[in-house]
Amino acid sequence: MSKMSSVKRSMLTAVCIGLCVVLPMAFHSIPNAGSILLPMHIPVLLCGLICGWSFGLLCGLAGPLLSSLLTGMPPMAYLPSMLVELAAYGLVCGLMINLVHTKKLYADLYISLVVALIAGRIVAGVARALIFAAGRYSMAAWITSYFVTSWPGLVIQLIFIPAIVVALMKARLIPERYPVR
Amino acid sequence: MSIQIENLSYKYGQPAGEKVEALQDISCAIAAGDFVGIMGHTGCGKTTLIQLLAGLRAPTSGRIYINGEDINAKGYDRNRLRQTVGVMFQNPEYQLFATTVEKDVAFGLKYSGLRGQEVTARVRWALETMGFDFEKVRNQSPLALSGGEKRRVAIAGVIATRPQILIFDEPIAGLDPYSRENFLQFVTQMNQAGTTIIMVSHNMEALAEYTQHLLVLEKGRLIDAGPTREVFIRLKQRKDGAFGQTAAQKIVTLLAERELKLPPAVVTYGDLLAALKHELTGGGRG
Amino acid sequence: MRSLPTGQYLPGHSFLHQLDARVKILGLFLLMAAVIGASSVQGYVLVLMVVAICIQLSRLPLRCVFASVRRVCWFLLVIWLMNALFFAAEDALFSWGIFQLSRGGMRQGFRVVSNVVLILLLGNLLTMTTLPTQVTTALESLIKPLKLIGVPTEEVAMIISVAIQFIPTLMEEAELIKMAQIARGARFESKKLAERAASFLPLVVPIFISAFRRAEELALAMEARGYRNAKNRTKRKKEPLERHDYGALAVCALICLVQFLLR
Repeated sequence: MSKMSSVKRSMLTAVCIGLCVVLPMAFHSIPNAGSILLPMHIPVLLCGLICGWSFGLLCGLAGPLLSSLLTGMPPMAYLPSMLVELAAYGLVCGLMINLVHTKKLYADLYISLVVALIAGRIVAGVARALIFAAGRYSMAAWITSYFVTSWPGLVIQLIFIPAIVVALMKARLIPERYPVR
Repeated sequence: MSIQIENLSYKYGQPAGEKVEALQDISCAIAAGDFVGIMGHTGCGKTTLIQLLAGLRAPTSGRIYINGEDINAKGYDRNRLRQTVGVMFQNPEYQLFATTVEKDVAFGLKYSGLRGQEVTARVRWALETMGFDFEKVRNQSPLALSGGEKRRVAIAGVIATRPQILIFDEPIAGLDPYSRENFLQFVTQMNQAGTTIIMVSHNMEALAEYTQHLLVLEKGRLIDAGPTREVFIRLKQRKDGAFGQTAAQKIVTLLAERELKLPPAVVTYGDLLAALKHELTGGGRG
Repeated sequence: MRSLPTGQYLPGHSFLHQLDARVKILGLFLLMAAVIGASSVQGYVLVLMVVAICIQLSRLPLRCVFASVRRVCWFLLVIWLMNALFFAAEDALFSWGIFQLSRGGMRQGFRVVSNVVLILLLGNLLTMTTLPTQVTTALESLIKPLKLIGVPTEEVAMIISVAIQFIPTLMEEAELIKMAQIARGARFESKKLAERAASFLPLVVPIFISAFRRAEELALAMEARGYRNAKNRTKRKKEPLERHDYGALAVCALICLVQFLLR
């Protein structure tokens, strides 16, 4: 996924940022879609995987920021911890997909995703602990709750994101990672 | 399946509070087995009307009856509505998502009550109706097909539930002449087999040639409705020429400037040929 | 054609409305630091007064300013309880398993909740008195210094402005795809989580495909028109800060400073 012009990467990043605003709104009318699907995470993770770490990082920062400004969700007070989490997703995803080359598309995607999802949650957990509680507050409780309450979103991201990447490749909108010769 | 529309209005809510009226007080009736065209300029409310007919939006006021039943009444079975009314929106190729063509076409059958072999048989029928070789195409990714093939797969997905009413939004826009002709032939066959067809189009020739009745929308209002030929004759008489005319009507106008008067009822090429034949064999001087 | 959402912006002519957006953003950061830095009673009184004065200066109806706080009040209660019950302290009032209710925990919970509420209010004041486009333009000029550490700020600004322009189109397309799939029989009411989750795939895949197709078309058009990078973009006219802008910034900085002296 490295043979794209920088203009194309820029434009793909722009639509991913746009989708960070649009997806939560599109699923607004479906009950609980937001909490199950975590719709803002998907474009950020995809952007990191497809466009690389710098674009993923930008998407993770600009996506929630724009959404908060334009739609009021997430509210400003939660924005910092969300920015940290999503920025970490975009960044780590992009770094990992560059490092991991197993010759198998799905393996690359899953390894990158799992590492990014864990890293993002750890970073977010630490950030939250620092923002919400200075010092003595039991961090273990926070991190456990962080992982336990968000596991459905995690599973869905693991299923959806490779499916979307493959669909985009099939539709020839992004280059094949391992083209058949 | 007849459709009855009574005083239908729809307003889009805007965040700033003002409302944009998309449809105003529309009333009309569509008989079972009819082939109805809807024409109008971009933004006149055609797509909104279709979404209301399919029960995808609830009207601001007014009612829609399908076979005498109010589709927005409490307790009306939405699942049955989805099986009864098939809709194909603009750019239907954008709705493909599954990993194989077979799964994509079968998507709408999940709630139809069909099981196992019946589903496969139905998918085979839908794909073959759309001119595919079922065995060849069933395991391909729908996303990797060509543009025209994608559109045919999308149509197969809509007809797979065998809806009694089929609604198409701009189905022939962007098709090459061959595919367009094929599509219109297919729709005519479906219509002859008893399906009610509603087709939104900008293509005057296709509307004139194939539809039996025509609804004309302008700025959210129904300004004309009736048998296609009559509507076209009335539209031609409009001073502002806002809806244009069919090619045959234009030829009649040009011939009239060259002192050859043909009857005003000439709307299609067929009419034109008949009228010219009549003229050339001397019948017109009669 | 749909228009861009206007967020929470409420038009007005108050002092806060007229303040430069760049100043409001920097001021927000300074005051947020002051809130997080508050540790003494005097400190909390100070930030509380500052927030009250800001609300007064915005001349917004109180109902609107507090609406978002009301929306999250249950969540705030949960945060308070978690702090009150999990805080490790010696002066436990009672304990049961891993839970122990303590005075220290209750105080800690109170502090956390008041931090969240105050920051939420300050954030609301920014978004309610500033148009989203003003905020993004301000951010664009605020990130300029990042160029010194190698961040291509023009590129970033271009990407964000394209993203904003794309939003109405993407919204419309997402809506159409949703309708098309519902018309084909998509259902979202399944009780089982796995089934419910899977029912989103027919929405998400086409939305991404159509969005990426748009991006590709735009990229091709830009390259065809000889686009190289963001540098040859027409520059926006510089708007200098006025005296009251500098004044407001100085006051915010002073509050922040006082707060850390009070520790």
